[in-house]
Amino acid sequence: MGRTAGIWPYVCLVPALAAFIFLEIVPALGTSIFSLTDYSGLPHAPINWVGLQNYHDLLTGGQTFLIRALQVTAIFSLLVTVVQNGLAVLIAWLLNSRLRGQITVRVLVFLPVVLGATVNGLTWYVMFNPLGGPVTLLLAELGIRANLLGNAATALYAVIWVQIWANLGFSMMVYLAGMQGIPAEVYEAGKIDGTSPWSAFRHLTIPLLAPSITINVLLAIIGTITGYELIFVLTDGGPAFTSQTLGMWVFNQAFFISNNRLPGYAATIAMVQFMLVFAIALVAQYYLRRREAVL
Amino acid sequence: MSLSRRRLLGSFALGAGAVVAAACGQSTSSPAGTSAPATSAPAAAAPAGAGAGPVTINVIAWNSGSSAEAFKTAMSQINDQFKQKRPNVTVNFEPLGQGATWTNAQMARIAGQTTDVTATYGFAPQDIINFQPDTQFLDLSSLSSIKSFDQTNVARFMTWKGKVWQMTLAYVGHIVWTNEDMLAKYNLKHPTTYAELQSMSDTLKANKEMPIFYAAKPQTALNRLASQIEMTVGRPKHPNFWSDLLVQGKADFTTPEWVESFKRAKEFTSKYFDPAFSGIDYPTGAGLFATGKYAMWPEGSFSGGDIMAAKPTFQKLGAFTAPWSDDADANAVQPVYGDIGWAGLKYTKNPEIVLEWIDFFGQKENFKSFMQVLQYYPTQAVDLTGPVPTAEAPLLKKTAVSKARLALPGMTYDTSWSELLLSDQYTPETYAQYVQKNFDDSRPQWQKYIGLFDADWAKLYFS
Repeated sequence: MGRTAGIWPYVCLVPALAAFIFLEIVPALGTSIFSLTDYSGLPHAPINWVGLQNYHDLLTGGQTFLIRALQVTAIFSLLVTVVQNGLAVLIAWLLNSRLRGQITVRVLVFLPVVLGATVNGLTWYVMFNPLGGPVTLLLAELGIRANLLGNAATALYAVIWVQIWANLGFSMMVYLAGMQGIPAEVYEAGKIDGTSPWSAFRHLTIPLLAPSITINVLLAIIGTITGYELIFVLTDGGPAFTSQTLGMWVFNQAFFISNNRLPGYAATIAMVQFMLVFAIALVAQYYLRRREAVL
Repeated sequence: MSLSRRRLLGSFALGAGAVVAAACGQSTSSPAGTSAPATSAPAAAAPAGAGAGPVTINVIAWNSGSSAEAFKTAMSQINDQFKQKRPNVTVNFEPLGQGATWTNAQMARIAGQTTDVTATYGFAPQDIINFQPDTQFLDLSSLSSIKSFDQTNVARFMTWKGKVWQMTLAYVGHIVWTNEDMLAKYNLKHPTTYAELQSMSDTLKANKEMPIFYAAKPQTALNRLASQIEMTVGRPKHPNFWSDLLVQGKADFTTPEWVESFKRAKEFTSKYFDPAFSGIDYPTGAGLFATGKYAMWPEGSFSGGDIMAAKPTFQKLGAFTAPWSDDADANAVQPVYGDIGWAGLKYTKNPEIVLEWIDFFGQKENFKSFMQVLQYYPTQAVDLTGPVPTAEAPLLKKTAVSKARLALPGMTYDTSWSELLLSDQYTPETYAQYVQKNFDDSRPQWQKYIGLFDADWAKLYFS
């Protein structure tokens, strides 16, 4: 027993490791290889090795579409990350102040996380329906004729709102857990020094929440650059491609647009997306970790 | 450098296997998947016919909207009749969703060789590229029922390299559905020119009615409008436009006719369409039109059955071919493309049975009974009854292949004109330049297909 005891942790890791390798690493490698082919996804169709041609086409021929997708992704990611985290911190702070009805508020804010992308998307799809959706009717009462998901000027912002609404609860819970981990003595010491509640929030809570901020910001950045589920349900990337993020573009190229269904090319976009996420996440993590150390 | 399928898949079998297992898990565990080998084996040994061992053939198709139930019913009727003829043969029919769900399921079934017959769209260039029918499909040229079909439809939708590879049962036209009660109320007749269409819409607007209904979400639904306008405004001046594009890779989207097409599309949609059209969900279209609040709906012919299934509040459904130009003759040409049909897979263990089943389907009486339920444009000259065929029949005198499915894989330009119609970033002139640029820029993706389609094919296809 003594001689084999050291092996058991590794043996126990094998199933999870195998699942990770077969379901994550191998498909990822497959995608990187398909990005170098003209793979059409069609059975019995020849697969030709095209080297970096897809990357060349994406950066030259597909420039218009790439720049547009990058712009949309940047707006989507930035607004969601900033607003979602700002609101989540604020709500967590309020809930941590022992207000009445805080459990109800916590459940309500967290509920969309449990519902998932499809249900959340369909809920707001109905709410925003231009022919009699509740939001449309409400805005009509104010004299505003709304077609939020069908208007090129508003569709992306409507999607951003739903994305924030859907994920706010998760961020809020992470912040709340972080806040509840802050020792009460810290605030008591602050009180003795005469800090106001706002000052305590700004100078004590926020700095001590740094690890939670790092996690939430990174998850929001990665989720918004790679995700497509809510956009797919709400707008399908339209109207006029104004809500087509990189993730949505990959999906459309790989599976949806019948005459432009090019999984090999989609794999190329996915690789560019991966490199982008990797670079941004690396920089963000470096900056946030440094900030944690300083604080 | 070209890699063989075996070599490439051999290299990445694990990855591909994992992806397929994750994405298409049902393909190998479905009833079709499990039943095929067990039931097909005896048939391979014993030829089909009375007294032969039990044989099962698997048939897959997409299903769409409210037609899905009618489609299943019609399939059951045909298969029951076939069972009477061939008691030892069981036909497993499985509808597999629509859109991307259908495409992915179809690919998985063909790759896994678990279907004997697949539904296909009537041939468009992209289908020929994707399926390479002469290598994947059974040759149907010698089936006796093929002679019953309209030979123009056979040439357009079923033929490649001089042989018939699929039996296309129906085709789609892009027309304008009408609420005849509303038109009668204001004494309006079907327009034959663009001026008449505008005048008619003005009359409706003046009477506080909504002239045009459209459901453009997702934006690809705009393809139907673009198809109509291109057919009547652009095509008459450039009859070889699509032939030149597909055969030689040449196209000029900046001609005055294209700019005029874009201009009319932009002006008309902003003036006469329901302002919410860009946010209306396409699958709800038939139901909303059936409410009777709209006068006209530019849409596919296949939606006639869906409108009737939604129990319209108006008494009479009508239809006309959209007149987007000033020339009544040019406006009479309806853009069409091939819809559902059957193709037998070459790898099937029961090719005789598959051919017999397809042939049975194509026999005049069986075909007619099937199309009567489905109520699509039939590819054989049969008389169908009911309000939908009655409205459509007069429109079928002049047809030509629509632009809707003509783009080659990789042609990344906005085929549905959504960026023009759903945003204000382009004028018709700048949009024409933009389309041209995207067409030219995407050339490396599709240039390899130039040479696949020759002038003889184009002559038949666009006849």
